[in-house]
Amino acid sequence: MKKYTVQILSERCKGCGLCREVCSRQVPENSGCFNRHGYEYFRAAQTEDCVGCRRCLMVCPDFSIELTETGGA
Amino acid sequence: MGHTNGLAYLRTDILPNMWCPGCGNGIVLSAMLRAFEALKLEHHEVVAVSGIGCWGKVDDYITVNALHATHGRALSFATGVKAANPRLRVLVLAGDGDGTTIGGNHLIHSARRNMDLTMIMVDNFNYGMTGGQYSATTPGGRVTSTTRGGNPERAFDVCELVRAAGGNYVARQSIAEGALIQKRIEEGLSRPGFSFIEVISACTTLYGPNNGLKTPVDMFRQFKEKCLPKEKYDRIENAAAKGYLTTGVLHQADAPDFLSQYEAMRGRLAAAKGGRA
Ligand SMILES: Cc1ncc(C[n+]2csc(CCOP(=O)(O)OP(=O)(O)O)c2C)c(N)n1
Repeated sequence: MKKYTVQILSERCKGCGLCREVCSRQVPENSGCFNRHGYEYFRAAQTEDCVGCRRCLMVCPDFSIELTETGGA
Repeated sequence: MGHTNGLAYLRTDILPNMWCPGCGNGIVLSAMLRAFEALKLEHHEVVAVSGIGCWGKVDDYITVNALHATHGRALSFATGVKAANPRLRVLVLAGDGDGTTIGGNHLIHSARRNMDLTMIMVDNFNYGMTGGQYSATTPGGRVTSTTRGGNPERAFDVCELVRAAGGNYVARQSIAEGALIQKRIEEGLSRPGFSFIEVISACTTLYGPNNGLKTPVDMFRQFKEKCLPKEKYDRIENAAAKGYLTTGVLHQADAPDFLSQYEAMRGRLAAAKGGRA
């Protein structure tokens, strides 16, 4: 299994929640914190659960998700 | 890592973008940039011509050549760009108000001429930028800021319009299908003649809340349910009346595009004169 890390750039995220909607593992979650622009942004929880499907990358309207392959067998 | 993300064509220095949370514009932009990358387009060979409106602001976020035209007239500017330099790949980025309502006549004639352009129309069923007024794609009965009791008019089926007027490529997808939007844009850019891609999109501040869809996720779920490929659509009784839309490639043809007809005509005239035009 390949492994991935997901990062959500808090200053770009507007908290629309579409990333969580398309994620089969519900990796993204509401952080409960607000960014400089006043948006309650999402963060990537349990990023080790990510299966690398990239659906969140394709649905994010704000280019705020970064996905990195971190190895694995 | 090696996946297509289109970031080489994105202006990251001015993010976050100006669009509302969950607005479909960013999803279409992302798909378009991935399509550029998949086709290995060089910056200098692409010109994106945008109209006026929220989607029209897309030119701010891209690093290819861009021309922000007047409201409803992006197709005319794009026609000029393409005629002046046929080697360029010219895209037209317009909203439903821009592309079909104020600019509807240009749309008909660009399709009729089969001008070699790729138009991406983001259809959010209203005039987003000016406050959510109804447009020519607002379905009958829907609430907008200028149809408070419901729209008494019918909407255009814009894909059908472009097909009938003579465009070579017509497709529709919703913002719930990012990978397919990318594929359609690649196909549109690869086919000579007029290519038209309608993306069913979410206005999460105006049209959605005006019609009982309070959050971006509500709108997204509605599109997943209602935008279906033809096989599935055909199995639903009175699908159109129930608000379903067909997605996928709706029409493909290989009619000669305007510029090849024009060059052929020039060649014939030159030959008749016994030499150069
Ligand atoms: C000639 C002219 N008429 C009217 C306007 C005002 N105006 C600006 S944007 C817009 C509507 C845009 O709606 P649409 O094309 O659907 O794009 P959206 O904002 O929804 O992305 C209008 C009417 C204008 N800028 N120019």
